[in-house]
Amino acid sequence: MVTNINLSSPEVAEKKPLTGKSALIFSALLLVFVFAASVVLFFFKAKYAADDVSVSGQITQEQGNINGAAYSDIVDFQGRLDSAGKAIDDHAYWDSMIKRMSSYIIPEVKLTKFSGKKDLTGAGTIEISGLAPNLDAVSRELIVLKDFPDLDSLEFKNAGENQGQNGQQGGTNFDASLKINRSAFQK
Amino acid sequence: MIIQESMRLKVLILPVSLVVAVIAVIFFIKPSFSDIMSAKDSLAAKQKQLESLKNQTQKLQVMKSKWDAMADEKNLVETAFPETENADSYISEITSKASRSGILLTNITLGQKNSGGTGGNPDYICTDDSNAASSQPAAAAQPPAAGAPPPAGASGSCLKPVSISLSAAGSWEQMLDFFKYLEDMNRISNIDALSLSTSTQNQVQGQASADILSVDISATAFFKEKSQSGITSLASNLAVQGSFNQQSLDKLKETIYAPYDVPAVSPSGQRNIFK
Repeated sequence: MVTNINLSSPEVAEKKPLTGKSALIFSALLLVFVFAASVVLFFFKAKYAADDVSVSGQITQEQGNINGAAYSDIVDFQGRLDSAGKAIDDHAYWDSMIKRMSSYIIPEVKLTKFSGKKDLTGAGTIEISGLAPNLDAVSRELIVLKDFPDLDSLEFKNAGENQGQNGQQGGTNFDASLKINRSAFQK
Repeated sequence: MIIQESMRLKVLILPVSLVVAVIAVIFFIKPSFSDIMSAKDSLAAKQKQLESLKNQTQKLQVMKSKWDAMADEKNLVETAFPETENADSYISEITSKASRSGILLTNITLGQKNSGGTGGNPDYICTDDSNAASSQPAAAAQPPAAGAPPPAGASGSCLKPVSISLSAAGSWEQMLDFFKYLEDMNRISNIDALSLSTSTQNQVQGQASADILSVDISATAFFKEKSQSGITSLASNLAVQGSFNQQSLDKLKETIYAPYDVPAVSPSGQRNIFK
């Protein structure tokens, strides 16, 4: 006698494969989902683009306001002040410098010429011509001038005898060139 | 048989739609999503910029109200750095200072300094080649008319120079007075060079030559054309700072309102170096 043993359970036997209808519905749902996602993305893209245009317009308007005629007066005033500050930094007080330098000219020496020029850095070159009674006074003048504050360099030149004409005092003529720094022209 | 083929087609549609969905995700949804994200970031940045600009506008509005009340400061700056060459008032101020110090002005030559970009000027001077030097003796009574329109040129945040050459004669004390007055003028002018010497004439009205000195001075005054619209960078800086350049304003006041001190001569050891 042969016993018939069925190894498959009744549930398995009842499991249905994916039918054509289910596949159709699943596909349709998938496509609808993809389409819906695309629509949502399209909507947001359009919204952000519109917002971007709007904000860009407002930015342009605000920039136009800031740079426009409404505030041109105060911007001009500020520009004037900025430049003024720099120009005033270059302001040289020649009277203070000359007064300071006069303390470094010994009484025996008198100048015949004093000229000075400032350069772009604010420093200056002073050229002096003077008359001293003798070479000893010239050398003492050199020693004193060397101590002038804010002096960068000192060059003595063209020292020579002056006989004195038309009743003028004779002595030793000399020229000197002093390079002085910016702080010499401060008050 | 026909039913079976129909079933196969219906089942085949699932992988096909899956493929379509994947293609749509790869070629449309993902790029769109990236675009949206970058658009969102860009929008956020722009909104931030807009907020900042609105903030700046508010600050500028406050500053404008302040500026409207700054009558004295406006007048001070306008006089020190006028909008036009304003030669008449400049010469008038110089002659007034000369007369106050007692020196005799023998020559005034006024002209626009050449500000062509030769690198020979400080950075606050406009580098505009259109300002060709056009010296003319003011003694010839033909200075440019006050209020005349300035020459065309850049109107950025820089100053246009006006050069002036002066010749004068006077005593040592008068010279020091004059230099001091020139330095404290309402119209800011910087003395670039000077040359002092004993007078070429041996006797001037009975005074010894060392008593009378002659001086040649080269100075530079400035003017700045009014800009009709704000300079973008300057406007932005101003809005960000939210205040005027107080440091420059203080320097200007200090220079113009400096108390006059009489030059100390002999007592402190300072003396007439020409005598």
